[in-house]
Amino acid sequence: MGTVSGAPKIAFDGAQFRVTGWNADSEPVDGWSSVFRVYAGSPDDPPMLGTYAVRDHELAFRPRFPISTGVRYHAIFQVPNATERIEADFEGTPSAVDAITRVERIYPSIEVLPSNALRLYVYFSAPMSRGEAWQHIRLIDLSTNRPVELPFLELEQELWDQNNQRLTVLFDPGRIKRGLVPTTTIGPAIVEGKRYKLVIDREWHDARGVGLIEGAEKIFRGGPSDRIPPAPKNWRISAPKSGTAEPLVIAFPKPMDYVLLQRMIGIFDAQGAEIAGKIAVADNETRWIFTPNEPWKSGAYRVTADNTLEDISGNHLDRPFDVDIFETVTKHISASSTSIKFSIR
Amino acid sequence: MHNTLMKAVGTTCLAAGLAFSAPFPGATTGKVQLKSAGALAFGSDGVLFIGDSIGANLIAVDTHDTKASSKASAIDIKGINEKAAALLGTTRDQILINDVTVNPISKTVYLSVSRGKGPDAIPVILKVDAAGKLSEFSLDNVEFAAAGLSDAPASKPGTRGDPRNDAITQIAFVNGSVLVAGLSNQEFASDLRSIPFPFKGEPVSTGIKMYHGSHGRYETQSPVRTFVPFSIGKEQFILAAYTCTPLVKIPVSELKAGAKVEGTTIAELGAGNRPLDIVAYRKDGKDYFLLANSARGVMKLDASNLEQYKPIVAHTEVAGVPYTTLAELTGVKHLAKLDDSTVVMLFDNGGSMDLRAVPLP
Repeated sequence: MGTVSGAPKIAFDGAQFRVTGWNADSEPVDGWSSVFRVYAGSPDDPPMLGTYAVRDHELAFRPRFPISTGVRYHAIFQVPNATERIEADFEGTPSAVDAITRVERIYPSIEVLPSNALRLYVYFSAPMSRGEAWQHIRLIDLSTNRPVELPFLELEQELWDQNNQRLTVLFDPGRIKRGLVPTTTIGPAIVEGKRYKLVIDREWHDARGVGLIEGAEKIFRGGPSDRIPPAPKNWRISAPKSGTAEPLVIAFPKPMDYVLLQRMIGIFDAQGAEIAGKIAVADNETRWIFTPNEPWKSGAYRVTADNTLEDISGNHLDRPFDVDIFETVTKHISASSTSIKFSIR
Repeated sequence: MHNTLMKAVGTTCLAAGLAFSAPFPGATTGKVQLKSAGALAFGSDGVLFIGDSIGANLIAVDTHDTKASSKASAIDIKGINEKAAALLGTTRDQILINDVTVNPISKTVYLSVSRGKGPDAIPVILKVDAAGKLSEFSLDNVEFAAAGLSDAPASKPGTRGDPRNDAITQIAFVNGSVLVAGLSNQEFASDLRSIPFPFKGEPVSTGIKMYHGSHGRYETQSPVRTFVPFSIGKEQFILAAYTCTPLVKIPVSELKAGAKVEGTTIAELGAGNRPLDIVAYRKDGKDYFLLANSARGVMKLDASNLEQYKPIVAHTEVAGVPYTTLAELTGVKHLAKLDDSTVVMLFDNGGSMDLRAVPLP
């Protein structure tokens, strides 16, 4: 099994735990874990998963998962065939303490939200922790200064982007819908004419486990509901002159969904090739500003928008958010996108 | 020609050699590159399905956990999130238990866990054996197949920008297909997809829209929060729970590509509530559902005579199925049927979580 070659000790080099002062030879019948274990919790809990290796007669344990912050590791080496038991404690990587993360932006930017507003986007300056959103975001009815009960669709699987920097918060569509049975439901979260404050707590942890630099608020008023699909024929396109790299601007009569505006509108030339460029969104998401990488050439172009582009109430270009199935007035456009032609001169 | 024949013969021999543990068609052997481990469900023959919301994949893994057990042992693990943290070398606050399921053959409990909460969190599958011992079900070297769930066609204008992510809220294996309920973090797309298993070539996902009458006459876009398969006679259904909280019965035979399905609202369980998890069971010759809720505790619903409910297509007052609330069960986050007489429940006691087998009421 092994022999003592001095005073056995346990060392931790930041990646693995090693037994020094003891020459490891053959693995015990019950495995190396029968003599050497490392705990991340209490000794009543299971020892950490990991693998054992012997190199130059030195026994080492490498944890299966990365060394974690805020953990005290407790290593126990039972010297084989002896009563001697070596124990040692080690700290994981130091926990971060300095707050560096803040709420950068909240969309929609506008200060009057339709009573059937569908979603909010909260942008953070650094990656955040999952699993805490519904403890740290709430909507206050300013007429009573009390929180609105369950305004959001509190999904256990929070809707983050890939980098945990943007959270999608949906107003509960089960509340927004028309025709709910009034005795068993609580109606829409936002009521026309009332004022609200969206509150984000400073205690919300970023991905490093530290709270925010400060909390955030957005005050808005409830407006009328909007169930009219956005009509591209009402969009105003300001086409720049050829030979310039001036931006093309599309003005919408009402605010559109900020995130969808980043990817659901494209500019194409007469050959159908998409023009490369940068997109900006301004004026409470009523302006889409496209700056081409190369100067414009004169000719025919089109703006093409995916029909699943939504306004801030979730109405698509080709259908409102909720369809009245007993009225036949709802128009369905069979195409998946809508195009508007324009020229550059 | 010759080559093809040789290859075919070779494959047959290999398949025959592995016949006892043969995985499903399309399986490859290796490490599953999971980005997240969320909703879980078991298929037949020990195949575990894992919903990977962040990776936009549905994974099927052969667990080889096929030793039959008719009755589960008494599971009672206090502080399972603390034990998981100890095993995975981190602190309790860095453990999220996303789902709990049971292998119907072996009665082994499987948990999907996130080790860490940031973008670098590591997805892990844990299992609890008959002795109540917690261990990792490693995905480093397994037979598996993946079906992509990202369905944004490349022809759409402007495919730039960050990709849309679908949160998978629930999966279940029904009649040879995996049903996936999900919700997007961008354009509003709440749908129920049916993915045939074994996965064949390019996975075909069918978006299924449905409406239900208790919301008056408006087609619903409210997302399915949780659902459970059940059968009446020979017909297979799912019972879907929506937020705020209608329960809707949907015939599985109608879940076809592009279909608009008429669900039958069988109960309206009230406002200010989120359905969390649901199981179907039979006791003393009668059918029941057990539903865990965010605000209204655990409810036992009488599933008798469900076949008498007809789809509601006009605004109507809902005649709900009778239910009782089990006051003694508080903080239940997840349910999974363990055997014919027990359900395993994940309890949250203010941060410390217990996994416990409870007799079906």
